[in-house]
Amino acid sequence: MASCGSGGGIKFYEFLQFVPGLSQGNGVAADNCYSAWISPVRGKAAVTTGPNSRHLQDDITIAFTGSGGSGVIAVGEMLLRAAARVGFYGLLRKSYGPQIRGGESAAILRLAPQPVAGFADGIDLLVVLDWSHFSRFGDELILGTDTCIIEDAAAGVRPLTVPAAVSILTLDFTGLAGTLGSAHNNIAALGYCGAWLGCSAEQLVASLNHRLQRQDSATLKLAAQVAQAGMGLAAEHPPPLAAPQPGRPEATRWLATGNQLAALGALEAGIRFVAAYPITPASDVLEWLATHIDKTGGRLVQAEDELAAVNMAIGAGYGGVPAMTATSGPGLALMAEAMGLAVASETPLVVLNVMRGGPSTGIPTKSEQGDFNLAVYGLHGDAPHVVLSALSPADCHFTLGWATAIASHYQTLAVVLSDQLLGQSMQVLPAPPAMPFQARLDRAALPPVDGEHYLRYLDTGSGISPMAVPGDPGAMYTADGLEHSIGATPSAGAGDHQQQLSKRQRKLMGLMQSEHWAEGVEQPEARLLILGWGSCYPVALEAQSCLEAAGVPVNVLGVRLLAPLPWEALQAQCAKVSQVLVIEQNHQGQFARYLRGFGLQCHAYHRPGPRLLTALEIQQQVEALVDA
Amino acid sequence: MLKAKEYKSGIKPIWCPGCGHFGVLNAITKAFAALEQAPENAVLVSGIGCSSRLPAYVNSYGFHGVHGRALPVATGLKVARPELNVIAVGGDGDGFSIGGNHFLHACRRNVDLVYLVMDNEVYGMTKGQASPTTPAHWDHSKLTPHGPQLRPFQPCALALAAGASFIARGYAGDPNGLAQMIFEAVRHPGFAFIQVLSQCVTFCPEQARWKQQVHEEDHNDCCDPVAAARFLHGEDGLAKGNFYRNPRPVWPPSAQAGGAVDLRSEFAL
Ligand SMILES: Cc1ncc(C[n+]2csc(CCOP(=O)(O)OP(=O)(O)O)c2C)c(N)n1
Ligand code: SF4
Repeated sequence: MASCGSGGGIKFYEFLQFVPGLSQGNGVAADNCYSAWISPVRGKAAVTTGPNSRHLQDDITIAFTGSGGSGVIAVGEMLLRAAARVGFYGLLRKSYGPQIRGGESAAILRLAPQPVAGFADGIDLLVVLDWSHFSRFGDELILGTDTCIIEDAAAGVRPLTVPAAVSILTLDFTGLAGTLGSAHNNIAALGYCGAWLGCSAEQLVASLNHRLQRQDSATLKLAAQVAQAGMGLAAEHPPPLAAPQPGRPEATRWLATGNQLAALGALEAGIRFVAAYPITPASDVLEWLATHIDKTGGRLVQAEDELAAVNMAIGAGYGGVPAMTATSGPGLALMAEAMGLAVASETPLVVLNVMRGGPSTGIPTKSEQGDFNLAVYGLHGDAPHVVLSALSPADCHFTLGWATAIASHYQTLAVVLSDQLLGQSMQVLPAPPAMPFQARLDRAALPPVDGEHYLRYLDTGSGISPMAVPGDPGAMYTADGLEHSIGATPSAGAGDHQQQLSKRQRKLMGLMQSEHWAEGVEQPEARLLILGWGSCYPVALEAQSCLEAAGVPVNVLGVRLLAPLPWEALQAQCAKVSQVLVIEQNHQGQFARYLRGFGLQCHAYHRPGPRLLTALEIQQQVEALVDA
Repeated sequence: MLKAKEYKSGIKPIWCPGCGHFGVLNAITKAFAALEQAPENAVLVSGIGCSSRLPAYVNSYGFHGVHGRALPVATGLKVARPELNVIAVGGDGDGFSIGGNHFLHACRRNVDLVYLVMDNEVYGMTKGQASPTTPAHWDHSKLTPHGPQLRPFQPCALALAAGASFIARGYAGDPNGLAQMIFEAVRHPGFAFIQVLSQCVTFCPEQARWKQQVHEEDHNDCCDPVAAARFLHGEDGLAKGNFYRNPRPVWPPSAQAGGAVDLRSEFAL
């Protein structure tokens, strides 16, 4: 509701279902690639004039803030689950400081009657359990004059930065919980907000039970009482704000984080070996895999460092077992040498990189898109490989599946770029269709024999060579990071080097045929294309909705296949408009520079995190370009 | 059943004539013959160095990776494919310097692998720099013109402290004895470490003296870590023999049964 509309209310995963079979032509024709266009669900649009002018009535953003340990993230998750049961779709993002306990912490929740892929700019309802660390959010939490604030009576001193004009309601969540013998003001706040959204007591209790699974029954009972007391408070003192209306969603919907969906996508596509070294914000991918991969007959190893993790995954991949690791920037840098080995030895390998603020330890708990260069250019030597970006939390499932299939089919490295925003956001989504991808080694022509030797690195027409795995009789070879002949014998010969370099590059050209390289939404009469990747795509869709309301139709394209770039297909998309604006969340404008290297004429808008790109600023950029 | 020489791939080694690594290659092929090893079920994994070239010379599967990372590759492969016989090989620079951390953790993890380090107390491939096992006053390298002036590593003592369950030292000049050691290491359940004195004739010609200096020390039955430590801290580094053998639970524990599983229902609302 705040600032900008429901353009992000796109049925995100669903339009992947609509994609017809692989286009069989040259694949670069835009019409082939874009049969998957789908319009976002529209809200009741009005003209937007400022950061918090509420022009759409069907979505709402609620933020809970407190200090770490005050349980605001838990409340956000429980409220999202309960609201989803009422019929809302939604998206939850978590913002927290570097402290292990204490410090600032916020859960930002956007609810709408239809699927939500991105966040709005402002906050409609801010629930404050503790003001003490609020100012540390800086401008990460945008309060407008029409933001309503509900503060706990025990929240402490309100900072001077809070606009005087906002409406503030002080409620005694702490006292209410205290009279029941509980210290959990957050659960009272959960009951309060839940009742306002139309949740029943059972729905809230079900959420509590789900979240507090490991607690004893007395604790659960008390929590339920506190929540119900909070519900009562909502009847007496409702927020001075109209409650949003839920939708009538389809039967099966899910609640999951991008990191969980990435992990699930990987397992469903056939990953059976994972090597792990913990790093925020990728650890939860690894933790989810650790508790699930055993059931599939697979294995997870906690490695001693990222150098070990990536090499373990390479060992498993060489053994014919689809393998991955997940990390974040510093870990990706450590893996770079072995990623070159995967390319040269033609070993299938999936590396998921959940980006955070960098360089070095940077801002480890916050989102940024600064690892584009490292992922695309960071390998030594001439090392063609695949880099994908996930375009929403839900899309992490699809993209990891695709990466897994690519790595094994093309016997290469596939890096997937996600980020803290995509990975740790929790989304209500339509249940994804069955995983369309499977890891499959090209073993068809095994073993080709030149008299007596199996030719592991045979220069086939496609560039994909038949891959034997240990255990296959008669095809013994040594996989090598040393340059080699077609028969896998180490070679320093110019001819072998040229041939193998060309082969490794050529085999990836098969990807140019794929319609999965991008997603987008077109509008009639659009004169400008907003081009983004990763978590910028939902922001661009949001901006598109705002711009449409302002009478400025634009096209939006989110690129999933970053490298090798389907340049001709991209050019065809750009040719439909007269201006292109490339957006991204990093300081240097890494993607825009990359595209300019191909010869794209474009405008670029980019800035670093941790303050997330907003639809409003994209809208302003576009309006300035259109006016000029 | 293949004869020892049938386990050679036919690719001609790049090694200098007289290099100790030839003896190690012979010992591995002899051990394979004794084990009646199916060539397709054995994998030699290595890093980078003269010694790490070895996999290409053996008629089995091989993986020649990057410098120092043989053990992680071997670990991933063995965990993913437990039915294979996986042997990691390499040099002292590869295993104790750039790959030193993996060595410690492989000892501790106790995956059922053999790790064979061809220790020539020098970086052969990069032309003669000091390695972690180089004597403190060895001043033949331009990079350390006054010698490394550091106490050399004691790989076997280190392996013991880190939890290796099989520790032995062989000599490249005695391929039959080494073959027997490799045979036993393969049969040993868990992580088996063999340090092999493998002379670099080009950069450490003085190692020709090893022929006279290497002496037999059989501690075959030693499963007492305290006794093994006492021995390893007192010896001159040129003893060959089995020093320690103490099987303990192998990681990972027994294989998981896979199958159709429901991964999705936890997400359904
Ligand atoms: C990351 C990296 N750093 C440095 C090198 C250069 N390098 C190649 S082999 C080697 C040392 C090999 O010594 P060792 O492992 O003792 O084997 P040897 O050649 O003596 O058998 C070095 C430093 C490399 N290949 N990769
Ligand atoms: S340089 Fe030394 S280690 Fe390398 S092949 Fe020659 S003798 Fe062997």
